[in-house]
Amino acid sequence: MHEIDENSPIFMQLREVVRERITTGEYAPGVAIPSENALAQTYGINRLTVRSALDGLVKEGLLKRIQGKGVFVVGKRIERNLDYLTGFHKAIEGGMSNPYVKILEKERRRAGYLYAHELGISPDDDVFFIKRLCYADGKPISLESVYVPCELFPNLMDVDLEVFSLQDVYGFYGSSPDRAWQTLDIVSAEPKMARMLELGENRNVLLFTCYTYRADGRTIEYMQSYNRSDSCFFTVKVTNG
Amino acid sequence: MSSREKIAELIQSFIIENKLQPGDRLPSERELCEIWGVNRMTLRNAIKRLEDLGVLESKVGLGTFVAKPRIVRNLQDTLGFSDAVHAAGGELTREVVFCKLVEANKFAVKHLHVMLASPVLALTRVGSVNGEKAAMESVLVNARNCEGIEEHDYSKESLYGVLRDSYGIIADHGSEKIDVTSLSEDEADLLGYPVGTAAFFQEGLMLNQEGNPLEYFMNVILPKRIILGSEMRPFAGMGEFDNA
Repeated sequence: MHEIDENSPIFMQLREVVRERITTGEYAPGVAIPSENALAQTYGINRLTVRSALDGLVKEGLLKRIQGKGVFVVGKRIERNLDYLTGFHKAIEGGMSNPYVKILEKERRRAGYLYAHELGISPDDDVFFIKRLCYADGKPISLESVYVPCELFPNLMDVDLEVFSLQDVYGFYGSSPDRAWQTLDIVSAEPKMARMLELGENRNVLLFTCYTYRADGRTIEYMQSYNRSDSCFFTVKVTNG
Repeated sequence: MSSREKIAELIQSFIIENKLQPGDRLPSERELCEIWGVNRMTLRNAIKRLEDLGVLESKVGLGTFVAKPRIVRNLQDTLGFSDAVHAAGGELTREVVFCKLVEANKFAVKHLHVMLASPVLALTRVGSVNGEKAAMESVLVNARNCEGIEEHDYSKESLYGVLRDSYGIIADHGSEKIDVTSLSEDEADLLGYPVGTAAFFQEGLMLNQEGNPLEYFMNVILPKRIILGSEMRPFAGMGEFDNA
């Protein structure tokens, strides 16, 4: 491959500019880069030129184009090739089809004593709080609250979590989950939750709580997930020794 | 976040910040309302939520207390249930409700994968944690080559212990499914809880060391007493963490 210089075609020059910004982290993993229109305007070039510049990076897997949302940076994932055979696995009656996550709330907040305690950080540290509703086949399945220490994933606020999963983000930032501690409880959904989960008479939901740790023992996520008990169940494998 | 959630968080933070221990009493509702500037109704809703989560415990006329943590039954560990309860500082007692050697019926054929009319131990026990009824455990055990298996006292002996020590059979591995049930009349009767109370229904099959079906179990567990836990750990192989 030859050197890109000022004599190279503009689309190739732009491609290298964007690549460079991805490498330096100016364009952060999981975050949308400026729109094609904005780039075209900034550099006084045709939008089609921008498009062909980005197409190459999409092909290389550095960018991901999402219809109607924009172009996102895909981070390098640390692939661990791990198969998690143990632990609770959520299953949906009749199989999981067309999963969809709707982000209801996303904010950066002070951890406070409770979440500092759950995440092993100081009460004055900041956490990301994400509340999401998960659907299968157009029906709400679970309502989840997720707490993540800001320090570990500084760009999380800008990541579109309907495009990338939290697991993607953890991978981008080199904090792949290593193990998790999970509990199951049964609680009665209060009216607001019952409405969101479209519960009928049966207000009992399965509360799945999960602490996720990375290899050095740090807690990377604390999650509480309220699951419809009429459409979800959990399975677990038991091994002696 | 709803105000109920906010107040619930304030209460839990108050417990942590002030290092309250199980059994410690919270300030009165009136005091808490004053401290946080919330109305009584919202505070009560938050307390109710935390009672449901096993964090608080209200005693009529006495106030609201930090609850003792519930026993977590780790479905992964190889400890027997009784050892697990003991490790958590509690005591498990079991009462045998039914213990009989029977001929396999259609149900046993279907779930335990044995021949019709082959010998099966049917055992039902009620387990109590610190004297309070917590779970109803029913099992069907393939009793081929296990002469006298029904004569053991399963209120004192563990089933896996008997299988191992008397017959050289090891409950080696299996899988189970957990969902929610509501107590039937019989279950309500045995557990001393109202009909319709929500409970875990844990159902599964254990195989012996040769990979043959050994035990089919159906447990009804009261979440008021016991919650279920499990550890997710990596195994070498393909695939990735899939609990997004």
